[in-house]
Amino acid sequence: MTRVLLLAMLDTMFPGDAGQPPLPAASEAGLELRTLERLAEPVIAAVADRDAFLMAAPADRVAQLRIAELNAPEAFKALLAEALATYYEAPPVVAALGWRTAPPQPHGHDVAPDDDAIWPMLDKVKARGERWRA
Amino acid sequence: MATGEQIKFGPVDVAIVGSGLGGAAFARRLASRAPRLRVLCLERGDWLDRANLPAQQADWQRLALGAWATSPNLRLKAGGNALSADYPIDDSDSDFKPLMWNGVGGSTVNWAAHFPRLHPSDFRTRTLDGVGDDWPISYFDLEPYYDLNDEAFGVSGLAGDPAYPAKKSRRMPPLPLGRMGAKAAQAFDELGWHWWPVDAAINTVAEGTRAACNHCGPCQQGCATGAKSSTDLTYWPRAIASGVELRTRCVVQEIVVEGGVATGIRYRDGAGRDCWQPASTVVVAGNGIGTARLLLASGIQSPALGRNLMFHPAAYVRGMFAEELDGPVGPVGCAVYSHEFYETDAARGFKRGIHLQVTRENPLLIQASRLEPAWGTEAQRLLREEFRHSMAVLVMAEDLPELHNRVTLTKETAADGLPSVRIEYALSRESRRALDFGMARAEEMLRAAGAHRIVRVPLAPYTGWHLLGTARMGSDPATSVTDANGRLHAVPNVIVADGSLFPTVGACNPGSTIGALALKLADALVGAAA
Repeated sequence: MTRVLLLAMLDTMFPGDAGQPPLPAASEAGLELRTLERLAEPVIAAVADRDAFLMAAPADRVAQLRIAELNAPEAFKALLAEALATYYEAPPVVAALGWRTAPPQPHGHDVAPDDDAIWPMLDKVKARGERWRA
Repeated sequence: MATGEQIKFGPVDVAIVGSGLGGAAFARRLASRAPRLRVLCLERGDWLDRANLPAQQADWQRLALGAWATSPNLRLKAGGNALSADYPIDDSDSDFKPLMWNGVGGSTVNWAAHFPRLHPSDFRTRTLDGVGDDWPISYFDLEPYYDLNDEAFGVSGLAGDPAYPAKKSRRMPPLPLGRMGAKAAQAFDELGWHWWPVDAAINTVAEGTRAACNHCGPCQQGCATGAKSSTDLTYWPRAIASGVELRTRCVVQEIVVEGGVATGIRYRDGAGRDCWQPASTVVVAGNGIGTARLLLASGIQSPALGRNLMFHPAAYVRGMFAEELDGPVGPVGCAVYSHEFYETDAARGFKRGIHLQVTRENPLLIQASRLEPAWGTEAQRLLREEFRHSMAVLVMAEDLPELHNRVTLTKETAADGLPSVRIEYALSRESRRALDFGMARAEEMLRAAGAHRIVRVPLAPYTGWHLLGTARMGSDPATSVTDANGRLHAVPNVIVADGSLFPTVGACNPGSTIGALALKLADALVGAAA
């Protein structure tokens, strides 16, 4: 039950989209759920009617989850922080947003070389003269 | 917890507290100018392990929000970082949250390495604009030391900026502007405003064992390649080779003062032992909070000590663009800046000025964590729109000294053995006006660059890097803590050598000035001893 409710909550938080490429919903992103299950328990306890939550349409789930957030703010904050990290580090999510899952090092990133037209623009800045006061 | 008898060390000529920019520059200069002096530095944290930094790990963004956060309070909340000997700071009554690193290199380990100088007018705000206080030294007194400090750090940039007196050629070419910087440059140009590529203490060319920057992004979690300058890479290897001793994991508890003269330092070593280090001169360089804390804990009496705490009030304006920009690619604090509005113009309704800096954007998780709303369909729509399509402009205003902004001790004792510390800081109306003016100008630039949506962040609490003013220089012991050579009025053989000394702070990053000032103070000590 906890896992089913957790996934329903996560899908409410991270429903995904149909963009290009599509952003997967949380339940489709292959998330590791163990830590989230532990953190979700007090939030699940704050959901007034769990069966109704599972049966509800997405918009109603949002409303019910907002009430749970108000009723258990610290627990919700902890769950949200972990859920954000778990979801936005998941490879399918990262890839859908056009980023890479490999760490920043050792390869770093490429930056396009500066356009030759950029630096002559500084001549105008220089032409205005000194801008400092002594 | 101290155990057993006190360990007593042989005397040194100079004992420095803190290995960050001020302490390192001071140590290196002393070692080169007066090699016969016995110089010791006590550092509360440890050396960085560059083989195991967050940038090499897949979960680096989590680490950046936790054990490698820029805030010591956040690091402690996440369980602490073994290399940074952090102490909690009660910042509940402060508009800005202090950021720092408490290990070898100090906050140069996790700074952005944006390396501007103050302007000449920043040293004369009372004379020129009737606000703040004049420094007891001028820009031109400091200029040769700026050059020395630049040489040690290896600045990348471009000489010729008319916002400053002429500077020597920068040793390396500027960091690439990227799509974001180029777009900003074009907008500044269109508006006819000043802009210039930043001076950065970051290698754009490999030098020795240090690589050229490969634009990986997370500068503020330590630089894995060593491209970003920090004192553990610049001043310390040379200082140690010259005979300076650097003892790590030594938490200074007290500067012992007898009859108005400091006799040495009592500290707790890594094994928890109580140690006694006699010293003829004590130099304190623990930043505007750590220095004030230690001096207050040592019973130093000085009316201005701990007062006049200054940050640089900061706000952000972010613009969203249809086209793809760089996002988090590249050094975090570096692209271009504008000092179009740096000098006072009374018509603006406030004295002094603002610094506009186009900075790199957040990585994915961190950007997602800062959205409002934080979850749901709208949050994901916003993230789609913003990630790699946004440009951030940092608006930084000059802070002015105010007595009620201060560092104090509490009655509790912290885990490190020192009294717990608290800061009180309220943004002034003057600073608010300056930030509002700056945000309007930043928005103007972003619109000119083609932004289709603008988000203002009127106050950015987690920008409290610049901890300044709490042991200010001056001639009057009633209103200043040290003289022009950094010597405490109350205990002249104690010298402060960090940003605590700043009587005023300008509107741009202080690192370059802290280093230059420490070099100058070291020369003054050598001159006095000669």
